[in-house]
Amino acid sequence: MFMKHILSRRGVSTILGTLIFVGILFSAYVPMVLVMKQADTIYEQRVHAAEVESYERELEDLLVLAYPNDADDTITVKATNEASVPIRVVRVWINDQCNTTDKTLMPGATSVVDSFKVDLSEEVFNVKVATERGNLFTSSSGSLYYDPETGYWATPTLAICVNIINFMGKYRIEVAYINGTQVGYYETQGVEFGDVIQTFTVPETGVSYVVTIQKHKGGNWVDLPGTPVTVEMVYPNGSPLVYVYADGTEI
Amino acid sequence: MRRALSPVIATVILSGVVLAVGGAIWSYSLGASSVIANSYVNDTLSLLDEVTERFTVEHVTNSSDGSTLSVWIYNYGEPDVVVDVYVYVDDGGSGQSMENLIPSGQIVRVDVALDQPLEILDEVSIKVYSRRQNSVYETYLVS
Repeated sequence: MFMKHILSRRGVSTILGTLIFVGILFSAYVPMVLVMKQADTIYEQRVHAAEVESYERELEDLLVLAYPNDADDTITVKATNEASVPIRVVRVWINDQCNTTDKTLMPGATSVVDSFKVDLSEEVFNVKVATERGNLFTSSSGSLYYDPETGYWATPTLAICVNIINFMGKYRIEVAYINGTQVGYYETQGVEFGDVIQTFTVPETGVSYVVTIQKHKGGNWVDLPGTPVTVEMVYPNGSPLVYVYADGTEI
Repeated sequence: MRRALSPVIATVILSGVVLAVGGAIWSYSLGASSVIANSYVNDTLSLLDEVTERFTVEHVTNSSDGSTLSVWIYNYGEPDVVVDVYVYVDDGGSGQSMENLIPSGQIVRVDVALDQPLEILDEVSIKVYSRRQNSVYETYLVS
C-alpha cells in the first residue's frame, strides 16, 4: 500500500513541487525581503541621524566678538556658546582670508578662539566664524577699522540701549555712574502708546553704569520692577552695545 | 491492454521533469531575487545620499578686475557632493562652473569666470545645484 502511494506519479510530483516551492521561498524570497528590510532600517536610522544633526544645527547660537591688538597687528576672536549643544568652530574668516582652526565650545562657555595676523592695508575688517555644522556667525562688534595714517584702530561707540515694553505710559530713563554722576537722561514727551526704545552713548569701558527707569503714575515717578539695574561695559571682552529690557506694563 | 511504460519509469521521468523545471525556476528565482534586492539596496542608498546631502555657500568674493567670482562651498553632510555653480548678475552678466567635487567635511573654492566684469554695487545671484537635485542660493553684493 505504501509503495503504491510512493509510486503514484502525481503524489511524487506534488511532493517534489512542494519542496521546490519551499526551497525557493526560503532561499530566494525570504533573504531578499530580509535584505530589503535591512536597507530600510539603515535608511531610517541615517535619516533620523540627519534630522537630529539638522535640529542641532538650528540650535547653534554663537556670540562672536572680535577686537584688534595694537601690539602685534592681530585680531583676536572670542566666542560664547549661547546654545544648548557643543559648538565646534572650524574656520574664522577675516575679510577674504580663511583661517582654519579647531575650537570646541561647550554650552555656556566663553573662550578665545584664536588671534589672527591681518594685513593692515585692508583697513576694514569683517570677521565671521564658521562652525562644523555649517553655520556662520558674524562678529557682534561689527566691522573693525584701522586708520593707516594714524596707525590706530577705530573703536566702536559704546552704548546702552534701553527697551521698555509699553502699552501706555510716560517714562524717564537715567544712566549714571555708580557714584551717581549722570551720563544720560531721557524723558518721553508725553504718554507713549508703544514700546519705548532709547540708546545712550557712554564714555568709557571697564566700568559699571546704573540704569534707572521710572514710570509716571498717580503724579509720582515709580521705578519699574527690576530697576535701577547695574550694567557692566566690558568691551572688548563683551559687546560695545548693552541692552536693558524693562516691562512697563506691570505698573 | 498494452502499456507504453511501466509506472516506475513513468514516475522517474515525471519526477525528472519536475526536478528539471523546478531547478530552473529555483535558479531563476535566486538570480532574480538577488538582482531585485541589490537594485533596491542601491536605490535606497542613493535616496539616502540625496536626503542626507548638506552643503552651504560659506563665502563669496570677486577678483579685483571683476572678471571672476570665487565661491567657497562647504560640504557638512556625509556624502561627497558634485555641484554646478551658476552666477547671474543683475545687469545681465552671467557665468557657470560645472562638476565641482566637494568631499565630505571639506570646503572648496569654486572660481566662476563671468562674461562681463563685475562693478561696484552689482547684485549677484549664486545658485549651487548638486547632481542629486539639491540646491543652495546666495546673494552677493559687490563692494
